[in-house]
Amino acid sequence: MMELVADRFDGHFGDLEPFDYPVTAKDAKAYLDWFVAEALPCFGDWQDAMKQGEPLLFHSHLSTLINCGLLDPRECCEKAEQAYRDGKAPLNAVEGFIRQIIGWREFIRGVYWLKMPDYADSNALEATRGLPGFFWTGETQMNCLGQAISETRSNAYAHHIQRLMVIGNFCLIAGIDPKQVQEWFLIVYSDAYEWVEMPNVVGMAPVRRLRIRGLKALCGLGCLHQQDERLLRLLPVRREAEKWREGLPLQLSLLEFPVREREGSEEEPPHGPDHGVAWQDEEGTAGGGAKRFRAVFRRPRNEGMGRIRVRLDQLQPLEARVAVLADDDVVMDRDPKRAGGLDDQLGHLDIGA
Amino acid sequence: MADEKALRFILGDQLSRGLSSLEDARPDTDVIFMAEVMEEATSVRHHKKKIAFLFSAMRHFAEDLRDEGFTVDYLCLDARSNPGDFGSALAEAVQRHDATRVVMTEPSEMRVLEAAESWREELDVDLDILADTRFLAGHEDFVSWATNGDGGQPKSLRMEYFYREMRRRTGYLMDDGEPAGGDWNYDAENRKALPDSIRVPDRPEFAPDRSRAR
Repeated sequence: MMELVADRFDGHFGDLEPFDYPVTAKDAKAYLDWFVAEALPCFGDWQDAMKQGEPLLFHSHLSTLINCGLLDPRECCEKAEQAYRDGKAPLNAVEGFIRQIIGWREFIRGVYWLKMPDYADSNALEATRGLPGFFWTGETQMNCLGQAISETRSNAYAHHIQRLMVIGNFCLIAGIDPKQVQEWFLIVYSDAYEWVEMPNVVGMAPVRRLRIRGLKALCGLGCLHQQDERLLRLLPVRREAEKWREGLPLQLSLLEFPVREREGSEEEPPHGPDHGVAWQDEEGTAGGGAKRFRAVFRRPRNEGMGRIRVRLDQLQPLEARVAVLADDDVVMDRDPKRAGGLDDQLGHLDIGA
Repeated sequence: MADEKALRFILGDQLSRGLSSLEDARPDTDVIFMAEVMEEATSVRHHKKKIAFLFSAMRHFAEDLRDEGFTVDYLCLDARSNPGDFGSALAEAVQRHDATRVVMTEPSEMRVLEAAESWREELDVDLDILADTRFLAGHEDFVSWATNGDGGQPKSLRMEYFYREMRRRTGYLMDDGEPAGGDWNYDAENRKALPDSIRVPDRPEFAPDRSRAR
């Protein structure tokens, strides 16, 4: 099989070897048992963490086996629950694991069939940028992205936080065409089928679509590193910059997002504090992208778009260094040379920690 | 029916012994058909590891069914007779085995389901497409939930409420009708920072074997 794939699919993305993943029902069960005994007890606590050089941490890595049928989702849930009942794994870990399977997985599949076929063309924010070349090489100075993409190339896998909070968020704030993002996810992940990745990509990319996905996850736009949803405050960003320098470009690029989205919104932007206070909770029903956006960022009252402008102006020296993401002249596409240009510009980042 | 011979067509993401299309399969009369086709492997340019994984898993699944006594017609990617697409491969298999009907479990993707509907038109025999019961919520279940049971316009879809419904239905982590521990969702506890001293457990490795190398 390795020869066949090496021969017939040589030009495809990704490393074929080393190959050490289960391919039989028996080995799949053994992997599930290993997970429940060894990783599940810690899965919950550090579910949202990332660590350099640790692509799997305590994640189950079972989605590929479940989605192709080698593992039965019910069996996975039952074994995890048994570990909880036996006192071998804490409730927060087991509940989180089971939620991924009977909650998210089933929900995503339901949404796919409910929304298809129109769903495939959803692009509520009219994001049109091409996928940057570094999505195929992992060569970017944005470290969290580079790590996630390199690990994807090696393993055909990246965990939830890497996919959603790093790669997904980048695509969102950079305005990458969701169709290209969909195809990339479908290509690179061994657990990816259209029914899985389309609702995840479409639901995550256009802000307006968040309405159907449980907004919480996307609050991570700001809280990935700082766990402080008031992303737009200057101090936490600086503090985070000191802690995690490489993470900064992505963090900072978020700062230009609200302005861009406001400009791109069909809705009349809010003027003055009366409009600016209209931030909403997750139950909010506003249809417009701008309103929805405020919900995502849970902006404190009295901090309307006008204030954001001011804040961005204050941040100008920093923002200028990531202006590449706001600069429509820089077309990010699959041409490695162009992507190299992008990297060069980001490489000029000089964050005084 | 004494002379019925069903061809049971299994797709690459249907490698489950409990699959609906295998439920009433009979080793003495039925034939199981599986196919590696370029059309699927290149519908997008999938990661090399993904292709190797799926084809390997398919071949092993076929072996497991043979061990049970089933006749499995397995079309390898590099077989000279491989027409390269499901529709042609299936039509040829029906002829080859003189099958009286084809049974399959619904494809997971709309593109393949639409293709299957077209095979139904083209085949000389009936094609039964069965629900995929490996999912805990059927299509009707989800639509019913999404529309408050009236089949009308979907309401605002929130995973959390759907999830609670699923917890109640499955009984997972439920104690006397209440969520274990008193709360439905413990995500707030799942955002801890990783200590520097954390030891990440070593993963078991499943070395490539003969079948995969074949």
